Amino acid sequence: MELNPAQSGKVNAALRGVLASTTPNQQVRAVLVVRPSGQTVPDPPPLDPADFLDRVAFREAVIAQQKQLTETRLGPLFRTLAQFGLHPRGGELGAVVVEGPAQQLLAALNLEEVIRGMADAQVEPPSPRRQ
Amino acid sequence: MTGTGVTVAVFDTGIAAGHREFQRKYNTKGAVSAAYKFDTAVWQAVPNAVGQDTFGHGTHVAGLIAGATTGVAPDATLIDAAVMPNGRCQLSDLLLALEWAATTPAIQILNLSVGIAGYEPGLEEVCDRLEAFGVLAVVAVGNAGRNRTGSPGNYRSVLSVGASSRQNRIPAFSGSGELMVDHHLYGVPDVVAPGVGVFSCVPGAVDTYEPWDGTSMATPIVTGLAALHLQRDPGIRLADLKEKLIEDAVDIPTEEDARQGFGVVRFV
Repeated sequence: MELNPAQSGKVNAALRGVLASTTPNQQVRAVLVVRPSGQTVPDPPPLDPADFLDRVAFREAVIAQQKQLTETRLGPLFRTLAQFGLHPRGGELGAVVVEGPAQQLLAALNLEEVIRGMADAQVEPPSPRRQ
Repeated sequence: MTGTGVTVAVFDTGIAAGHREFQRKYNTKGAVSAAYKFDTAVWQAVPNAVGQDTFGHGTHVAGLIAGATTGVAPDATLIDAAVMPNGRCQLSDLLLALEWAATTPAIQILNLSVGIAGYEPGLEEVCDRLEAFGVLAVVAVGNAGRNRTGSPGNYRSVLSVGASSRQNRIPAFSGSGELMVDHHLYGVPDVVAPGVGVFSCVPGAVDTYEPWDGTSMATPIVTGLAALHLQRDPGIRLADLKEKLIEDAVDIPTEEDARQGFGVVRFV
């Protein structure tokens, strides 16, 4: 499949390679990094761990705050990706794993909120050396 | 300070929790409180049998964080996040594991000895968000040597760790580099820690130890130090914790800053 310049500028080399050798209906799995665009809810004031009974209580409050923020800012985008048939998973950290027809992935790359596409590549530990 | 009350997630190949380094006299569960594997099909962290490491890497790393005699923070609690059960995983597995850690209140520090060669901008957004969730990620810069780094070990929002030797030198394998991102020039690693001939536990018999080299070995030493700081000052902000670890590091006068960052870590 052929990528337009905007799509090509968003994908890493590995995903570009996958898409170049794929037919429109072939299933592709990728990671999309997303960011809210346009008018968004302002950042809430940062929470201070010193204001909480312990670190766990602080983290519980931060998690609740960030989850709410994600839903408000990115919930509509996740629903759009689902309507594209891309079965988005994740999202709390601003990245979703999607899987679906290659042509739908290309359509998703046209969305302003999608800022990066990465192939679901292999990750390894840096090779340690036994003495 | 021994790391009491601090929980660290070890993102690695699993932990052989039966090793004597992880046994505790007053805690039948030992140092490893729980273990998880990651299923991207259902997008869930799934409880795993505690005590599995098919590769060895994770056990060595975990021993340096909270091993009874090998660990920097021997009373810290470990969660075994077996994201690379056979020494490798997909990016989606890592993403799920990061999301799970970000949304698990007990986890305060992540030890990550994994990476993608080079600079991958997409994952930097993810690690920035991890910081927003209040989790410190301590990450190996990689073993590819000068002017070569891996992501996420080359991101600004993590604490990037390289290796030093007993002779106070930077070994040739320790990664380092300067990066220009968003018009900001910065260098990695932030700090270095012992990463040559580092003894820790390995799977097999309960009393097996080996000396390994790598930034993977230096990283848990820094993670252990971070745990000591969190025990001493549970109210410390994440940015201040990173700054404290960097400020306390000692410069190696015979090595370039580009190779050692701010120097060898120490606990002050």
